Amino acid sequence: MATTKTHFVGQWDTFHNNGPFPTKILFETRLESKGNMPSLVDRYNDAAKEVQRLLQDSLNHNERFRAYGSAWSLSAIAHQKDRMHYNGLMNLKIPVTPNDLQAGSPYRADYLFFFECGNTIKEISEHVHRNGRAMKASGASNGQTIAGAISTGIHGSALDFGAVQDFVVGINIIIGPGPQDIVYLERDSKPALSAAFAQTIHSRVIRNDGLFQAALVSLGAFGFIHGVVIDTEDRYLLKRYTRRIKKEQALKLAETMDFANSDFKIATELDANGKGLRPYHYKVYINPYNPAEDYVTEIIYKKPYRQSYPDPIPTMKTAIYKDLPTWIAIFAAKHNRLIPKLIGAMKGIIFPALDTDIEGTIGEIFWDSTHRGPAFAVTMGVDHTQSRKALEVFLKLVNDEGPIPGAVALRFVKASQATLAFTRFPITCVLEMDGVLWKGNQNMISLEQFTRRIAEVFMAEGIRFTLHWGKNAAWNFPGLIDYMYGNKDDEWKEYRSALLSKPMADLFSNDFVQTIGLSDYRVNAPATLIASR
Amino acid sequence: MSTVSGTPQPNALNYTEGFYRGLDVHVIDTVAKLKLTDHEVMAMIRCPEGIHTVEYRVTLGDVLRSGFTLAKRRKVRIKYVCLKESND
Repeated sequence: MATTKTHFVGQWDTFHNNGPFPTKILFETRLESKGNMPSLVDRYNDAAKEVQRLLQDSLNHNERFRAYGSAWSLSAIAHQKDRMHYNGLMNLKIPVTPNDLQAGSPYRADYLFFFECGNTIKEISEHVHRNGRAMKASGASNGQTIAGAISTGIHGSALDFGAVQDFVVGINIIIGPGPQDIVYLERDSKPALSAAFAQTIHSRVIRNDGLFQAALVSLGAFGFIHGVVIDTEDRYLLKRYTRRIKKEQALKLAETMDFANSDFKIATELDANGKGLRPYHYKVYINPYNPAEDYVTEIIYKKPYRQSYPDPIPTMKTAIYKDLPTWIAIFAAKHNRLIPKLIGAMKGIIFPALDTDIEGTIGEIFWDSTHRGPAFAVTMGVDHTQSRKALEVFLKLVNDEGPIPGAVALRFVKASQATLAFTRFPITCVLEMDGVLWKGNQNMISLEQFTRRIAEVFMAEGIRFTLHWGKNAAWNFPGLIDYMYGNKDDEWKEYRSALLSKPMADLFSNDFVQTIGLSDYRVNAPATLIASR
Repeated sequence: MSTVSGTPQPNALNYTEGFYRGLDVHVIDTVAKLKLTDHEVMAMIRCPEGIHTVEYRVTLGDVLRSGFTLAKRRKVRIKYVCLKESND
């Protein structure tokens, strides 16, 4: 049987040291060993039973419960003051066979994979690669668990695909302790697995586009996401170039996404007419404190897979998350006027090395990153046509009210269908500032004040924006959720209320969900809303 | 040394700063006593699916100890992380 250790921890922290947060209990569930229970499905169901036992126990004790994986979010989204459940050890990988497919499904069984919640992006990437397939998108690195990644909407930078949740085609959620409380959700417009498969994992199927889209980016509040079905594609390589790019060229590309007619060209990435090809990924690095300086771009093109290519890992090892050293935070708090000089002096460390061309699989290009001390990250989504204005406003704020110890970047992602995906614009320009976590004082704006000013200034300028759920933001800013999502948050609440009983909706809420105004329960949400179609 | 492929065994309660944060780290910190006929030290580790990371440290004191004892007392400091069980 799956077993759970109970740790009376007192406090809990994120991977990036954004806490500590007070927490009573941390549960850690381990799967039954393969030797004792050889069937993957039996072990999966056994784990589900154990989670249901914990849910019942939490209900009995009138305590809230929240599952989390790698704790990579910098916001308090994963935190729960009562009971937290670490599911990083629940990493079963269940193959999908042609017999498991729903009749008329647009998917092919040999491209689908069923993963338990605690599989990390790296585990998934390697597993599908061993089976001749590749993930369609990834975050900038690979340590997030799949359940955490989709629940917070991690995005990567796939211009014409979308975010990580956009390759999920089925979600298995435990919504309570009862026998009918395990559901398997799919889109009715694009079904994947059959009811017979769902029965093997003791689940009832709900095929409903609206419910599925609401549950995709669930912020952990739709229940315990136990497993997901993902769609993959044939293996491919990504060719990554880093180049200096003129500021004007970079911003024009950001606004138009017109790579064919841009003056910026990579000589080896042109069509027969000499026009630029459309890349898979386009990212721009910006020194916020030197307006005259040109930018650095990381531009990636998709290529057919081949077995032999130079090892990209030595380069990627030094390229991902080139954080500022932590001593800068201490230095910055005392001598904040020197931050621009420091960022300028260290841009060779912060930005990727120029004119480096490498090739690798998606798992190799978006490779491992390690903990480098307390970090902050502010990540906004704006419509790409507004990226120039948004950047201008953001940089003015950073310079007028900062400086703060971080560097700025832009990435671009196709719209997600998930109801509360922050990548909700046709192409979202992801405007991000990453750096070392600092403490404000009389000389220097605090992170809380800075994130608050971002919301104020962007609203005053009339720029529509969203905020990454897993990053630092003024989540308690009045009217924030409505400004970002219009009536989409109401739609999300309706689906959630229709799916969960009131006690379970409360059990799966936390301070974060409450703060942003998403925890309220609609007693009259119609049951027909979540009917299988 | 770390392997390029594979995922390290996690430990949710490890809040160490740096590389080992969140990882299940095993430490061997001992002085191996060799018999007159022994020439090498073998540290046994238990990783069901293999090793993800190994760190081996030697200090000047360790070298001196080995020298003074004609290599019959050797300090062994090893940190390692196993590969996460793949469950496939």
